[in-house]
Amino acid sequence: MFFHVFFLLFLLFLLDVKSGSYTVLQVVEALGSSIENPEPRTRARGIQLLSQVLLQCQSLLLEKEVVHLILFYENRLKDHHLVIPSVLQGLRALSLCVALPPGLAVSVLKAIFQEVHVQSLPQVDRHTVYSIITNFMQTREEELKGLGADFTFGFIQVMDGEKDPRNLLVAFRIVHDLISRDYSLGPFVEELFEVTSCYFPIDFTPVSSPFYSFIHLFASVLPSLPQFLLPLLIEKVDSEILSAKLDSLQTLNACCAVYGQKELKDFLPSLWASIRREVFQTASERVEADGLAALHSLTACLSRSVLRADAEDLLDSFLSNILQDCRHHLCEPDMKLVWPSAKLLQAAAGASARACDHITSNVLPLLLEQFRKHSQSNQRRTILEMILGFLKLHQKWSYEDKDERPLNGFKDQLCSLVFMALTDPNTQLQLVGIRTLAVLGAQPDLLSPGDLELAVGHLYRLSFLEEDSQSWVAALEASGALAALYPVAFSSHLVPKLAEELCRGELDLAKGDEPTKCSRHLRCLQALSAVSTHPSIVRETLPLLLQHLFQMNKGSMIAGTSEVIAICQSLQQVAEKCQRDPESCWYFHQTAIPCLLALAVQASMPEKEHSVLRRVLLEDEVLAAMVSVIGTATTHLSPDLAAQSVARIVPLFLDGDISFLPENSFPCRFQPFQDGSSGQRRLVALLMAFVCSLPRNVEIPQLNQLMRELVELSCCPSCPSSSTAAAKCFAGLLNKLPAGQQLDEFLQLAVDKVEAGLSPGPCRSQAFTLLLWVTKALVLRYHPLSSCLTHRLMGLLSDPELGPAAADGFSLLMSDCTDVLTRAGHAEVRIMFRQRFFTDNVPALVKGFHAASQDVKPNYLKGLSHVLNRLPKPVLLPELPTLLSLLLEALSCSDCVVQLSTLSCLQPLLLEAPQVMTPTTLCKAVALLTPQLLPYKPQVIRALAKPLDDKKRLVRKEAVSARGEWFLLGSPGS
Amino acid sequence: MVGGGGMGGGLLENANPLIYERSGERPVTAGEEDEQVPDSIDAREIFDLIRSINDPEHPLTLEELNVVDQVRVQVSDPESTVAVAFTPTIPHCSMATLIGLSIKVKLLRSLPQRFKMDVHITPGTHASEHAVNKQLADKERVAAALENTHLLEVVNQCLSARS
Repeated sequence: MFFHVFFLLFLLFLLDVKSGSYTVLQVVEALGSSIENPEPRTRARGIQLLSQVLLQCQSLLLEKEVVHLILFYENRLKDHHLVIPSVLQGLRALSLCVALPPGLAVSVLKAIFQEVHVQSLPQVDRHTVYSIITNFMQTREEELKGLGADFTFGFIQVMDGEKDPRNLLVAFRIVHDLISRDYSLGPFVEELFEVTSCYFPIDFTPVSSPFYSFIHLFASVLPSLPQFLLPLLIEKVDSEILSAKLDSLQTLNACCAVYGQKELKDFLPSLWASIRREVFQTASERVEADGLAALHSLTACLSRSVLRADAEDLLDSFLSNILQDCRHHLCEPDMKLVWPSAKLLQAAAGASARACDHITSNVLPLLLEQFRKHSQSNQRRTILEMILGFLKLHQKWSYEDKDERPLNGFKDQLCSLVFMALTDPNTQLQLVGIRTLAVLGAQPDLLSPGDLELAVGHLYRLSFLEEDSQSWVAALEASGALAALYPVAFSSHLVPKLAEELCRGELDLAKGDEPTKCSRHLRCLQALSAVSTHPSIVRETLPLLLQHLFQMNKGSMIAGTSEVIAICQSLQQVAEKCQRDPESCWYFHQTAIPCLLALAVQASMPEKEHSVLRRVLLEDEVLAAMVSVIGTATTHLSPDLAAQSVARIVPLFLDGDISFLPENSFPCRFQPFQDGSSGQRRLVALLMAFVCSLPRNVEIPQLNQLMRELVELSCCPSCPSSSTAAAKCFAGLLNKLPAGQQLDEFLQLAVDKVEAGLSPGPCRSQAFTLLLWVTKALVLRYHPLSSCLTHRLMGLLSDPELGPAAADGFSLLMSDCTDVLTRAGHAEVRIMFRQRFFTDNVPALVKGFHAASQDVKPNYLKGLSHVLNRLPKPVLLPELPTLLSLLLEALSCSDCVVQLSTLSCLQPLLLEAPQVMTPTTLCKAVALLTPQLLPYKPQVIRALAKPLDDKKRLVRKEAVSARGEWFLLGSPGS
Repeated sequence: MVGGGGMGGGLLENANPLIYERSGERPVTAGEEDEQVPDSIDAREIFDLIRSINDPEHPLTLEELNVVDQVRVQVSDPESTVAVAFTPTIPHCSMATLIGLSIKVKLLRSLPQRFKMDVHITPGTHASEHAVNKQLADKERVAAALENTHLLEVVNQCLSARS
C-alpha cells in the first residue's frame, strides 16, 4: 500500500520536474515530512524516492540545486544504516551530474570514505560506491588527484575484502586506472598491491562480459607493480597447487614482455631457482612447458634491455647461473636430469643470439668431450641429440660477419663427431647423426669442400643400406636438403657415383635378376630423384634417368614392368621437385616429355623384332605411371610455355607430326585416331595426361577436330582402355571449356553419341563410360546439363546389362580422380559438389528404388550407398533417419561392397544419434549381420548402458530391449 | 533339471500349475510423452522387465505362473535400490535357483549400474529358501554361474522373447 503511494508520487514528481513545473528543491520540500520522519524506514523510502527522481533528471539540475543536494546527502551519510543505500543512489545520480561545481567530488568521496563502511553493505550498494568512484574518475580526474594519496588509501579501504566477482571487475578497472593514469599512490603502493593480488590466481571466468575478461583486467593491473608482483609469483610457483603454478608461470611469461632489466634485477636468482625446481621435479608436462617458456622470455627480456653505461649486464651473470646449475647434469648421460638440464639451457639459448652464443660456447666443448668419453652408442646418441638441439637454435640467428659465427671454432670437432655417428652400427645413433649433418649443412659457409665430400660419401653409403629403412629414408631426406644448398658437391661427388651404379645395375639386370641387386637398382633410382632438389642437379639426373630408360628400350637388358614403373616414379618425383622453379619445370617438361612420347610411339609401332620393353611400355600400369609423370610435369607450366608445348603434342596425335621427337625414324605413321593399331590408340592416355593438366587459359589447337576424334574413339569397341582414356580426355577438356556455343556443341555431340551408343549394339558399355565421364565433368562445375545426364545415368540403374556398372559409376562421380579432373590439374571443381549432388539426386534415387523391380533394386542401393559414403559425415547425419529403412534393406543386399559402405554410413549414426535407431531396426540389422557385429558386442553393450538410466521411460524401454538383444547376440541359447 | 518325483507327469515337478492372467501392456501416459517430465523407475517398470521371463519348465511366463507379482516388487529410484521377491510354484521346486538367477540376470542387463538389487524368495514359500537366497545374493557365484555355458544357455532361453 505504502509502496504504491510512493510509486505514484514518484511518477508525478518525475513528470512535474521533467516538464519544468516543479523544481527539484520543491520536490524536496514536498517530501519533507517523510525525509525527516523519525522512523528510519520511512526516511529511507523518502530519500529513495528523491534519489530516483534525481537519477532520472540529473541532467536538468542547476548548480545551486546540486550544491544543496550534495550537502543534504553528505549529511544523510551519517544517518541510520537503513537509509544509507538510498543515500548512495542519490550520490551516484549526482556524480553523473554535469553541473557539479568543483570541489564537491572530493568532498563527496571524503564523506563516503569517512562515514560508510562499504564492505558491510550488500553487493548492489557496494557496486553503487564503485560506480560513484568511477564516475568521478572519469570526469573529475584533476580534482581527485589533488586529494593525493588519501584517495588511494580511501579506495583501498573501500575495496579491501571485496568478494563479489561483478564488483571486482569494476574495482580492478579502478586499480588499473589508478596506476595507468598516474594517481599518487604514496606510501600505499604495497597495500594497493596486496588488496589486488590476494585474488591471484583467479579461477573464475565471467560468463558474459563482452569487453574484458577477468584475467585480462587482472593481468593489466599487476605488472605495473613488479617489486610486489615478482615475489608473489615466486611464492605461487613454490606452492603446491598446480593451477597456481601454471598461472604464475604464464603471468611471469606475459610480464617479461613489458619488464626490463631494472624490474627483474633483484629477483633473478629466486626466479631461476623456482623455474629450475619446477622443470627438474615436475611430473606435469604443462608445468614443464610453461616453466621453459618463462625462462625463455626472462632471458629474452634481459637480452633486450638497454643498458646504461655504468650498469652491469645481468644477462651474463644470469646465464652463468644457469650454466653452473645445469652443466654437471649434462655430464651424466644416463641420469634423469640430463634432458631437463638440456631443455633449460636450450630454452635460454633460444631467446637471443647473445644468449645462444654464451651458452653454446660453454656447453658445446663439454658435450663434445662427453661424446668422446662415453663409448656406448646409447649414451652417445643422447649427447648427440643434445648437440643437435643446440645447433638447431643457431639456425634462428643470422650472423653478418663470418668470423663472428660461434660455431666456426667447433666445426672440425663437430664434423668428426657426426661422421663417427654415421659409421656407427647403431641405427638410432646413425639417425641422429644424419639429422645433425643436415643441420650443420644448413649453417652457411660452415662446412668446407672436404667435409662436404666426406659427408656426400657417407650419404651415398647410407642410401644403399639394406637392413634398416629408417636410416635410408633419413639419408635420402638429408641428401635432398643438402643438395639444394651445395649442388656442386653433390653433382661432382654423388651423381657420378649414382650414374656408375646405374650402369652396373643395367649390366646386372641384363645378366639376370638377383633380388639384392634389383633392390640396389631401385635404391639408386630413388637416390637420384631425392637429390634432384637443385636446378643444376636436375640437369644431370634427368638425362641419366631418361638414358636409363632408353637403354632398356635398346634391349640390352631384360626389363620388367616393375623396373619401368620404378623409373617413372623417380621421374615423377623429380618433376614434383621441379614444380617450384619455373625454369626447371620447363626444362623437365621439354626434356622428359618428348623422350617418353618417343619411346611410347616407337613401342606402339608394328614391328618384326619385338623387344621386351615394347610390350612392357604399353601395359596399363606402365602407361598409368607415365601418365602421372606427364601430368606432374605439365600442371605448373606457365601458360605461354604450355602453349608452345601444346602446339607440338596435339599435332603429333592428330596429324602424326613426329618432328619434335628424338630418334624419330619410325617404320610407319603414328595415327592413333585413324586406322592405327590398338597399340597406338592406347597412347591416347598420354595425350590425356598432357591436355588435361594444362592451365585453363591455354588454347588448344585444332580443338574441334580433337574433340570429335576423342568422341569417336571413346565409342570404339575394340579396346576398352583406349576408349576409356578417350572418354576421360574428352571430359577433362569439357570441364575446362568456358560456357558458350562451343561447349554446347561438344556437349550435343557427346549426348548424341551416347544416345546412339546406348541403343542395343556392340558398344553400349563404351557409350556408358563416355556418359559417366561427361556427367562427372559437368557435375564438378555445376553445369545445368549435369542434372539431365545424371538422370539418364539413374535410368540405367534398371538396365539389366549396364545396371551394376551404373551403380559403381556413382562412386566414380563422387570420388576424386588422380589423373584427370583434379584441382591440381586446373579442373573446375566446385567445393560443395558432393552435397549438391546429394540434395539434387538422392530423392530421385530413393523413388527409383521403390519403383524398380526386385532384381535391379540392389543397383539402386549400391548407387545410394556410394553417394552417402562419400558425403561429409556432418551433412549425412541429419539425412540418415529418413533413409534408414533403405539402408537396412541395403544391409541385406548380397553385394559385399554395398554392405560395407552401408555399414560405414550407419556407424556415425549409431555413435552420434542412437535415438533414431529403434530396436526393431537394430534387431533387423543384428539378424542380418551377426557375424560382422559380434566384435562390437562389448562396445555396444557398454554404450547402451547409458540410456538405461534415461529420464524418459519410453527411452529406457527401448534401451532395455535393445541391450537384451545384444546380450543374446551370438550367445548360447538365443 | 531332475524333479524329485512329480505329482503327475513324472518329468515335471509341477505338471499342472495354476495359470494366472497376464496384465496388458502399460498404457503410455501424456506425461511419458512429454520430454520435459522425468519418469522415475517404478515397481510397474521393474515388473514389466521380469514378468515376461519364461519359466524354465513350462511354456509360460513367470507372470502367468504368478511366480512374480507387482506387489512383491519394491523399488526406490532415488536410493537406487530394487528388491524382488518371487514365489516358486511349489515349496520343493528345484528350479527356484534358476528362476532367481534369470530374474537377477534380467535386472542386471536392464537396470542402470547404480542400482543395488536384491532377488529373494517370498518368505515361507520354499523349503530351502535360505540357501537359495544366499546363493542369489552372492555376486561371485552369480558371475561364476554365468561363465557356465550350459547354465547361460538356459538363462538366455528364459530371457529370449517368445516368438
